[in-house]
Amino acid sequence: MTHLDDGLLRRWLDEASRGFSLSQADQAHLAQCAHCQGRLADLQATAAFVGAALTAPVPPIDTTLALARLRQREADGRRKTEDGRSSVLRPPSSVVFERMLTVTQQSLMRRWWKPASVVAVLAALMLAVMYTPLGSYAQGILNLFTPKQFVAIPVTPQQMRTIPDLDGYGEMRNIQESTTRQVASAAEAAQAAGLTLLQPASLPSGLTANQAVYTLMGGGQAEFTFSAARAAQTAAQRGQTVPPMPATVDHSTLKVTIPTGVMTIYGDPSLLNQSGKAAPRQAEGARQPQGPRGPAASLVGSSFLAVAQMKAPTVTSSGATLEEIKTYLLSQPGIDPQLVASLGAITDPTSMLPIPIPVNEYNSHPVQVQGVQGLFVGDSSGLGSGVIWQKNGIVYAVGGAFREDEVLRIANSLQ
Amino acid sequence: MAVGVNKLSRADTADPERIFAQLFAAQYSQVVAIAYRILGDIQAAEDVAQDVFYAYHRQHAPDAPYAAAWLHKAAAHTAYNAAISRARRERRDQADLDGRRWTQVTEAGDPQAAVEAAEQRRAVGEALSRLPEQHATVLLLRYSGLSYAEVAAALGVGINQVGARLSRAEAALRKELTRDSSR
Repeated sequence: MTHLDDGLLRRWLDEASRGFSLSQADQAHLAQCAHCQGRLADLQATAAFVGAALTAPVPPIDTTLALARLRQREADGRRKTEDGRSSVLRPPSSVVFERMLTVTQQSLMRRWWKPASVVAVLAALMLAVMYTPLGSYAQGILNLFTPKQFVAIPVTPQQMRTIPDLDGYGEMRNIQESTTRQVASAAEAAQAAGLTLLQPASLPSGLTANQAVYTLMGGGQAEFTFSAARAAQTAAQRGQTVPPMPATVDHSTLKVTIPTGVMTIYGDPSLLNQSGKAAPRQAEGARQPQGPRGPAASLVGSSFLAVAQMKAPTVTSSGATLEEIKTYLLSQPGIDPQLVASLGAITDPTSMLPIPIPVNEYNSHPVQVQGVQGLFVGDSSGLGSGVIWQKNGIVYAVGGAFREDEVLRIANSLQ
Repeated sequence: MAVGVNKLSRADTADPERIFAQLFAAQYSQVVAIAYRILGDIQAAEDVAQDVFYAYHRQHAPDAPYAAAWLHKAAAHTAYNAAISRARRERRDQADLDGRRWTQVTEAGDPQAAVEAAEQRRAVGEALSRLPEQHATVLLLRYSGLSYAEVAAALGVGINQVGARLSRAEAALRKELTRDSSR
């Protein structure tokens, strides 16, 4: 018999009073399993012990004064720690924040084989499963060359972190910045993006087309030039031995162009509160949230749909082929071997778009949508999903707090 | 070098400095609380909070959706490192002070109780700093008042992972603290 997982029991201890409940089956198991009851008691005792130790109340602080102190420091332009040395605050070891929806293209370009940020597509797919805090599915980054197919690569966050930062291999140059801009109408969006804007023929109840918000995203261009000298310098700084950069890769320039795309949001995006959860619709008879930080289950009944479309971004290389670049970068030390194998198996990097799927939180599988093969990505608790596909050089993504059959229906109804 | 920075350019965009001030007002005390949980010293905790907001302001948009999660994680990371540095310094200094511990007491009230409380915070903080960073982080985040959802966001994991990490970290801290008291 499989017993209840410690993590589940521990969460239940903390969140039962806030509406988190065990499934019927789990409750039944717990009721008659001495082992699990024992685990629960242990967890509770340890939590109580630790709670008592970590209980010192924080003395009062003056936030207004603190802000003034920060402003002063910024004005002075100095950076000092309390013992007077110049401090360079390193960013947190978790790199997930760099992969957020609104992250700059530079951050995405650093992930070597993801040189372009398809912001609109990214945004839609991100929003699609976005009711748990944003950090948890920042892994769902999309990267395009000029995709014809989508390949799901299951990854763990640990594996993702082993991918080297492009910054250590050459120089990035911004040619044109991407922008995000809301426009008043579908017509305006279509014109600005140079697309025929598709819209779902049928919207889920509670959403209407005239509530839609149209946002333009993208329109940027950047270049990255490989430098063997820089790679050698980076390796020396890290104390690493690395394979030398092939002569064909050295001085090659990748140019990334991100066309302007359109993201259409139905439902009120301002209902996304700070933790990224949409507020439930009113008077729906759906379960109400348990307060401002209600658990994800409170989203049942919430209504939010994102549709993104963008001409496929392009990446060109002045020297080495994309295959040569891929091979070189995959040979760098430290990348998780399983990831190397999955990525290495992509036979045509110019047309196959690998989409990293965080293994524990999401599942994905190919689906037929609009007559082509696309990729479905769903949250493992089944509360949100998205689908992405490419047709006639345009990448589409649809997502929201929907089940798979619903999101596919909406996607197939785009016209 | 910023490449392709997304700029919100609506006509009625609020002043970014005002947005940052709102972020600061909303999150400063939470960030201090995270740092205080391991440092036990309000001045040190505020120093960490200042560093964290300073870094955030330099590199990120004030209205980014990940702002709170970033700040929380950075607070835990920075405070953890500060606690380790402090522990090293204290071990060095102790050698010169014939083993006595000097506790800085800045709170008002009964000095004896204050010294004991400060000593206890120091001991707990030192135990936390001996844990691997992953354990210390989840404890600092959760025991500074963040919800499971907020802890998940800061850690960059799904909410279902939080319970497991927390229970393992609590077991490790308990072991560390009971090992201490049996010396």
